[in-house]
Amino acid sequence: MKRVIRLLLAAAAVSLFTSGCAVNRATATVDPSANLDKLRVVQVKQLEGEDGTIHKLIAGNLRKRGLQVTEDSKSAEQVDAVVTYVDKWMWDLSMYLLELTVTVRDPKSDFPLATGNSFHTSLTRLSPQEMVDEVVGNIFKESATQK
Amino acid sequence: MIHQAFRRAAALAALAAVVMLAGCASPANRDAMTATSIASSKKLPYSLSVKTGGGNETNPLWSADISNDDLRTAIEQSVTKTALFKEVVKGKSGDYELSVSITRLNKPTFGAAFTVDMEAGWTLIKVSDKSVAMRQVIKSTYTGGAFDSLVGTTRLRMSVEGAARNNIKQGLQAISALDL
Repeated sequence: MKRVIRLLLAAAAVSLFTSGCAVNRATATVDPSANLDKLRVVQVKQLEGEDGTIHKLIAGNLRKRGLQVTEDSKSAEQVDAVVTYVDKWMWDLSMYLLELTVTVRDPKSDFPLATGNSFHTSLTRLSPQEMVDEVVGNIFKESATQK
Repeated sequence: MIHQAFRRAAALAALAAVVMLAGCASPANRDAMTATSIASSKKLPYSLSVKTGGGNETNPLWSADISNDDLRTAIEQSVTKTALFKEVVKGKSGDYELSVSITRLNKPTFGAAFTVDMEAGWTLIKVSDKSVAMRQVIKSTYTGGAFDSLVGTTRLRMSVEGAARNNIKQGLQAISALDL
């Protein structure tokens, strides 16, 4: 019986170790019909259930780029774009941001004008601030290359 | 002696079960994502080129994903099979350019019957004057059967393929409703 337990522990250790391998991914796509240079006023929509950390970081990053970021309560018609996001967190000794997707949407049709996604597993984890800077930065970099 | 042999066999079986049930993730298959038919039988007398974005290569240690190349091929195959456009061409030499970008692929981590949600932005541009003929967000979903496969990663891949297939089907139906 001890041998069975030892074998299962070894298998669990291998599985734990392999899932800890570094996976890094950072992509961005901008729709050919979109022009992010025209954006002046944007609204960052807070994800339901999120404590506001990522919301504030995205809003801060956009403000640094010269955009005016409005409150959530403002009507969608009064802004040039609505920014939505999805954050996925994982536990490995401490909680870390595994994946972040940021989407810039048309306020009227909800159409995704641009999307950025970054995915970093535990060994190459980034802080939430670094992750937001990477994702938003890649969206605007991609937009500039499309011109 | 017999008791020891039985223990060894049990240990090997347990290890095999761990390996088999975990499995390695494989990418969504382009043929499985291809939509073979749509509700409309409309035939547009134009050529089409396809561009895709937002996809990701699958990491075997993680979960099934859709690569841009596979999505593009699946859309091209779907257009050919449904005969919606006269022909599919490479580059920007077609009458219309279709750009499809995945913005969300929501996959569960655990479960028996996996439900995958997909959202993609579909843009159809007339190449001659760069006018936008269609700009639409297409949301699709697919729930695979709990017994489609014993291996969880395979069941998840099948659900990803189903969500992509439904997305392509809905996207092509939206195009067929246009008056080009």
